[in-house]
Amino acid sequence: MSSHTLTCPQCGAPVTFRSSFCAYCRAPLAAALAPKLERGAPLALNDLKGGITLPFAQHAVPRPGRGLEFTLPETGAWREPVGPLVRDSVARVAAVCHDAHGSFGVGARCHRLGSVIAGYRVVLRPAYRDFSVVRFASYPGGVYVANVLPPRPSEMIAGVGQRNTVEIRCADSLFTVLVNDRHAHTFEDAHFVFGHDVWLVGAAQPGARVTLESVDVWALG
Amino acid sequence: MLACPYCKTEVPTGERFCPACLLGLRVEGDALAPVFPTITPGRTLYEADFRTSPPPRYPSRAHAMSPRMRFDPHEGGLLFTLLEPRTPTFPNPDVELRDACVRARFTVLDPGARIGVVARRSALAEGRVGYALDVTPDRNEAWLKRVFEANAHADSTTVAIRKGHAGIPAPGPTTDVELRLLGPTIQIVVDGALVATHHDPHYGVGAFGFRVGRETEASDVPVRVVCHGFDVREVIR
Repeated sequence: MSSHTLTCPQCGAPVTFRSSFCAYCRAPLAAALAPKLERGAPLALNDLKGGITLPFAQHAVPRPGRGLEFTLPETGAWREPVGPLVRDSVARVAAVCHDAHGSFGVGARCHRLGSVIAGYRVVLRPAYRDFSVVRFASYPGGVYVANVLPPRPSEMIAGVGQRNTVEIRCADSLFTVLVNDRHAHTFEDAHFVFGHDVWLVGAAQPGARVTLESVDVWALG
Repeated sequence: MLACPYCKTEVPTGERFCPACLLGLRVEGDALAPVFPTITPGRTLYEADFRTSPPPRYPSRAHAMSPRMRFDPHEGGLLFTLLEPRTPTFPNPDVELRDACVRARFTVLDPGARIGVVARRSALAEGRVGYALDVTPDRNEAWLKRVFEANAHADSTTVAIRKGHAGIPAPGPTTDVELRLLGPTIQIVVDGALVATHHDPHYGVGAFGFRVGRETEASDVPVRVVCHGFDVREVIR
């Protein structure tokens, strides 16, 4: 079943996952199986091995053939949006963390509330071979998070100095996380429904180095 | 290709919904215009009558939120006495819904008050995000916002403003303030009359409740508001 089944069979209007009726034509909807979420048309593809940089990427130096290398000056996370505002999308980041203090990840449905940015993020820590999913709201001076999935160790994750990919696919309230192109986690969460996909890099200690190889966004297939 | 009026995504000719934000669309002249579903309130799912009960999660009908902001029992409900320019929120965190109508009833006793409701409010540790509707009877204004609130920081993004709307009554009479939500469609209703319909797809599920605050600067002259109660109704299917 494709994510296109999140439409009313009678009038074609978009419907929410598990909704019991169509908001436009009032047709009752039967409970559906979870659709399989797949990549559709590309919205923004950024292969960073070609020596290009990303808009607003701070603390980064393009390394042709390797990617965009970040040396993070302090503890924290840096993120920027990529691609258009969307509800349903697929976003994937490939990166190498060069030491035990680096992390990277991908975010979805990130949006602004004045000076605050809120959304979902998946963070992968190669040194610990784990990944986590949170809803977050960060403001200048701090961040609040609600755990969707606390850090989960996974044998799928390669260690320090090796390439990893993390991908999030979202359709309405249904999310799938892939690590190194293999299914890692599926969850339902309807709190945030619209926003930007983002890339992110993080440091648990100053001086952490992370090289982003690619940052890609697709529409949902 | 024409641009979606909400998110500006280029929409292929003939599409009835924006592929990015799912706004319903129709062609009007040489542009796209929104098409909204109707939202009809149904049965009451939750009801709080403040003549007899405290706000959700509060043990009594008398409480000081701060030294300059409190509520006390009143024959019509809860009397809020506000000396500082803040807008505390009182959601029912035990019920999280997606599509619902939240309505609160107020009597504003002094100028400078702000009355409203919140919807799809969710928690992130000590922080909260969601929709808030604030009505300021002094200025005949209604503000629909996405808000973030925490002890350390608060901020918001305005979704829509309705200024000088005849449907928003002056202080004094009892006022019903209501938000109706169905998917990304949000209706502002004051005293049972539809004031505006908006599209905002950012939040999907959360708690519903009411809020009451003070617009004017802090002083020893109180702004008083009676909140009679609030209810949450389902959307008719």
